[in-house]
Amino acid sequence: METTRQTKSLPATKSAAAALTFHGRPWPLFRIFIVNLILTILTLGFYRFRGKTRIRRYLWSHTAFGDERLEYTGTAKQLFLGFLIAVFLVLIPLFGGVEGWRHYQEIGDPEDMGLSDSVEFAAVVYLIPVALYRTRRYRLSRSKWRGIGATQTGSSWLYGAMTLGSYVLTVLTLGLAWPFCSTRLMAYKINNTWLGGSRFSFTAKAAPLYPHFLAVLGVSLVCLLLPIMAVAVMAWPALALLMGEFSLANLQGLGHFLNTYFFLSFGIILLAVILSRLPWNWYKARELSYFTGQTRLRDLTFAADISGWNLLKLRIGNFFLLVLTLGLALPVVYVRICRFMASHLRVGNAARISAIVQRSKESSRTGEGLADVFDVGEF
Amino acid sequence: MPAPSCHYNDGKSAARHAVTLDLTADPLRIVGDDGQIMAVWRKSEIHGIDEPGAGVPARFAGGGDARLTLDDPETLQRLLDAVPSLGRRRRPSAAAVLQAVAGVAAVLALMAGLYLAFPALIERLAAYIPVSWEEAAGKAAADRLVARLSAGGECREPAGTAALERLTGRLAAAAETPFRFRVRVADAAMANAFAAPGGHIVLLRGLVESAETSEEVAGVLAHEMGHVIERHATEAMLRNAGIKVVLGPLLGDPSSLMPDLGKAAAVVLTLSFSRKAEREADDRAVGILTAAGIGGGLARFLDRLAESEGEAIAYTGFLSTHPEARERARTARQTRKGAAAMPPEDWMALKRICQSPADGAES
Repeated sequence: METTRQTKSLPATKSAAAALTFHGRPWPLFRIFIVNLILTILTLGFYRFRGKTRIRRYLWSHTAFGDERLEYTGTAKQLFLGFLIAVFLVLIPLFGGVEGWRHYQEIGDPEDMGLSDSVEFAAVVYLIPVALYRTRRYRLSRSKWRGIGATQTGSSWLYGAMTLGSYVLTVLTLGLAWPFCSTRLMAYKINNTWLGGSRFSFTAKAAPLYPHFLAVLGVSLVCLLLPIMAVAVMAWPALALLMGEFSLANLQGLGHFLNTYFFLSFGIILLAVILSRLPWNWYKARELSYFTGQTRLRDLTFAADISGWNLLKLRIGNFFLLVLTLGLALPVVYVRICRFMASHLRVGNAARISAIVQRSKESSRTGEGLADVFDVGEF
Repeated sequence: MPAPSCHYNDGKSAARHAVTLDLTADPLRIVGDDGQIMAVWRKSEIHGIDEPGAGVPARFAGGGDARLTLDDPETLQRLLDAVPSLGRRRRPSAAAVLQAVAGVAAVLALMAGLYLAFPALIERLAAYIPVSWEEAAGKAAADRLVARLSAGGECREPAGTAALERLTGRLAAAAETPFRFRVRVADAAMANAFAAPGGHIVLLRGLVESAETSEEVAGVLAHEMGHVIERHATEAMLRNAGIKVVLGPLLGDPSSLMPDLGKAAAVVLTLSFSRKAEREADDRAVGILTAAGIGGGLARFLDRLAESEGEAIAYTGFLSTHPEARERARTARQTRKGAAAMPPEDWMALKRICQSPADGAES
């Protein structure tokens, strides 16, 4: 306990050194990517399991923590088996059941069909975080560093329920519960993450996030509402024209005016929606930095100094890279994300990591299953 | 860059040990700074973590979690000389490739089997569905179909409805089936007719109006009754549900798993049945018409359709969902010459079924 207190008193950023280094380059990754793409098409999609594995192997092997590269030990076979299990044992029975129920209901009370739809929707919304959690577990359990394996404990079904509950709570509070919910969800993930026999710990509270959250929420609402108000104000002359000198003579002029008005207001509102999303990068950056700073692994402390501006540049760059190349620049986007993470993460007391020992573990034999079907997850 | 080094992780702790290699014998020895032997690895069990020349420090495993990393080119070269296979790109073994191919083939075979067995499976399943279920499902589907197709709603002119009921009753009596038939006319200009499960049949106004004799309507009606008796619509609904449930997850498309707001059941009915199903329905129709003693109306109707084949109307009407009129007219001609399907006054009333009672009084 004493060592923990000691490290807490140390400002993490001062003793911390750059911990992650990403050595990957866009071109070699692109070559893997394009071969995967072609083979996946030629094999009617079956190659994608091996393709994913090759991409990950490249990314892991080109990421160094301290002086040692990571290692990915997953196989295509595991991903394939996971996919089969998800499709045949989870999804087909589930949607078969709902579909049968839907027909049954159609007979009983056609007006009340909404119920089976809602259940199906809830099942999908629930299964997505379940799949994400299982994906994370699979990836961690297939990651090694200096021969020491990572693991994730905890229940994906509980995590799915927590996520579903978070959505409900967030909607009920008009979004205000989100920092609280996201902190709880992150705590569940980090506190269940292990390197060897050592468990990560997460001490973040939602309260420090709220000033940022409320400020960003305010700016975002202003960005959204001001242009909408402007559009409404612009509507007055149009209404005055309609009410006032309405005659066949000025009908054409009026039509022209209305055309311009609707075109302009559509553009303004679209712009407002995009604009109102930008400030959230500042909140997300704050959240990432804070969450990282509140994470520990034994004596190791973590820190990240991500600014909203940096995150915005990363995301806008990635967006245009993908859109302008119809997705072919995906490997470049991967490299950008990895470099971004590597350049912002700092670790304190990194040398103490040598004390970590292997955990006796039994890892999942099969892969990501549900996640593969829903196609979630970044890499 | 750190100084060139050879180091070893024992797979038990994250501590890093500087080591030298003793390659003189098999198994090779990994020797620590202090001269202690840290591990012995059999050469045949050593494999590289990454492909050679991948731009990654050379890392090796000798079974288990222990790892050997060689940053020093000279030591690496000595190891590659001692174990030449480590310098070659690892090809997937024949067994691994075979396993992958077999796995994919098994899944494809399963899917192909399902695909081939699907029609028989659906037919078997449809036979197990109770008539009461079919009637309820059919009513829902027919309700929706009428609501979707007809601008003016269902046609219910009383005299026409009564005439249609008499014709339906006569055909049903000849059909000898557990289904009770409920025939409705939807106010739509297309000349077409649909059979929903469980005896629910929808005729469109365009069909009644374009028919030259009541025998033609009786023929089409008997044909749709054939679909009902053969449970074609029930099979179609089952097939549609099955395809959706199986293909959605397989194609990995979450949108196909989302609630289907279009309510596919009614849409299914407007799709065409298979040729086999059409032939079965025709055979049934011939049987029903013969038993009821009604003349060859279906053949005449199909003949007229065949003549109009190629005209635009054929593509939106009965032909669009009931193909190969010419060939099928031949089957339908088996009906012997018989009596008229209904008395002339009934036929006049049926023709006017879509006029409201007020319109009828005026004309």
